[in-house]
Amino acid sequence: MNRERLKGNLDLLLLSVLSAGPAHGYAVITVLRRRSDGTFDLPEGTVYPALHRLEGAGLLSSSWAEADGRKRRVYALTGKGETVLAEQRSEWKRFAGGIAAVLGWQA
Amino acid sequence: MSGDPIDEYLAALHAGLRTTPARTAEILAEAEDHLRESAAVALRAGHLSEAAAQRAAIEAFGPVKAVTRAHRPTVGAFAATMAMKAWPLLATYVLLTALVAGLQLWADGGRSIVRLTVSWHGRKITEFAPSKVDTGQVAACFGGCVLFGALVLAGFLIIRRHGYLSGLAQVRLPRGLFPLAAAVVLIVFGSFYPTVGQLGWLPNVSGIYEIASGSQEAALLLGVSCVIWLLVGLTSDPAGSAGHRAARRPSASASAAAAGLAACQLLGGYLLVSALVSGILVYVDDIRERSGMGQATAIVCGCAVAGVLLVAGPLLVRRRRRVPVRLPPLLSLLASAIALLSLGVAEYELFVHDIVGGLMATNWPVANVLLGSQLAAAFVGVAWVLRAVVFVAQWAPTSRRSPRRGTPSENADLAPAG
Repeated sequence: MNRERLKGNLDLLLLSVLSAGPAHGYAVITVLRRRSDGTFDLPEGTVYPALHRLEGAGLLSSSWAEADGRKRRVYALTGKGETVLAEQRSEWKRFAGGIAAVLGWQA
Repeated sequence: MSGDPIDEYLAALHAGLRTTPARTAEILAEAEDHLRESAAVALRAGHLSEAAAQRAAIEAFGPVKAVTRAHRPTVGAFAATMAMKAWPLLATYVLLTALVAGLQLWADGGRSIVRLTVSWHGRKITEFAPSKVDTGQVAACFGGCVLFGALVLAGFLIIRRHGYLSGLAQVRLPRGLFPLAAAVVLIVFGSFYPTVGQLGWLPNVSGIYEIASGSQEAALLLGVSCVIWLLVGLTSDPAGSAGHRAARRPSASASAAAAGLAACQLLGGYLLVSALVSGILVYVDDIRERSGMGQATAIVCGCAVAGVLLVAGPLLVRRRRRVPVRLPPLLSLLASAIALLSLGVAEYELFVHDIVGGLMATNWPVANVLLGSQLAAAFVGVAWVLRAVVFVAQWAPTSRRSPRRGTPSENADLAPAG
């Protein structure tokens, strides 16, 4: 899949993954890849700046924990993040419906 | 090299990141957790050796260049970082303006004190200053200046305390960029005499001329301080130069090379500050004196060129040869003590033999060059003392900055497989 197109929608995907509950970066990326069946396969290291940006925008919060003797950063969706996710989901649904209608994919 | 591919990758990542040390530490900790977790999962899945699992984890994480590019600061972050650095400098500048102007007004223009650095504005002030001093106006002028400086400082402290810009101002600026920019702006403004001497539009208010000329003298003082800040910054360890934990203790020969390079840069810094201060004294204060200007120009230019070479040369050597720059604190203290002692002896010799006094009578410009180099020695000496104090302070046990604590329960569905 076109990486630029994926990057444009990465925020929505990350928020969506984290709507299931708090997780650290590796887990988020693993779930993203698994759910997309390998379609969304960005260099893993480039996902973290997106997580940081979402945290800076107040859509995510993060805290540090210890795991296997290492420091681990765990991200969670904030209330503002939930609101934005709901809005973006709704927008995306309308957009995808429109595209599908034009392409003649409607059931 | 440690032989651990993840450590080597993290060291390369560390070198490529342009974020603040605290931010860099967080990024590296997160990257290390990711890579070790990813390698452990691959190892548990079988088929791969430990080294191969680590390499696979690194490959999936992405090339260093791509990751550092993704972490590259935005223009807004760059501007916020510059603003957070300029803000306290502006407050210092305004308060210093009030101090210098106050000294001028208090002790017959305070010129005997201010003359230690720059003095040419002082004698011009009287040409334009109001003949009758209004104490109330003077108090209002100085009160306003101090109040403005205090407000700027308070604003900075509030912003920093509440972290309003902390999310943005996390850029590691290129070494010396901010002090260089600040020095250029301040020195250009401070040297621009007409802003005070020829401004006919200043209101006829007591104290305003002292504030105006004091602002230029404060700019020059602060400009020279920024040059010293720049030189000290260039000759000291860069932030986090120890690198990631893959970095190793340097050998004795490498330490000796680092000491030699540091000495070169200190000498170069001294020559540059000498050229700067001497240039100010020769070309601004004594422009009326033409004889000997050629000699003075040659000396000032020679100092500047030698200074640039001595500062830039070791920087290039360090970059190409990767010479470690961290000197043991004891060695730094010893070097500072020897340098200060040498400066003291030189100063004593100049004073005892009245070299400056003799030159004043025969060759005024060259005498000013010598005077400038003495002032530069005093500036650099103070900087070295401060540097020694910093080293002593760094010996004290420091608590490693730990990220925020917290153990939220991770969603079991999101736990990595394996």
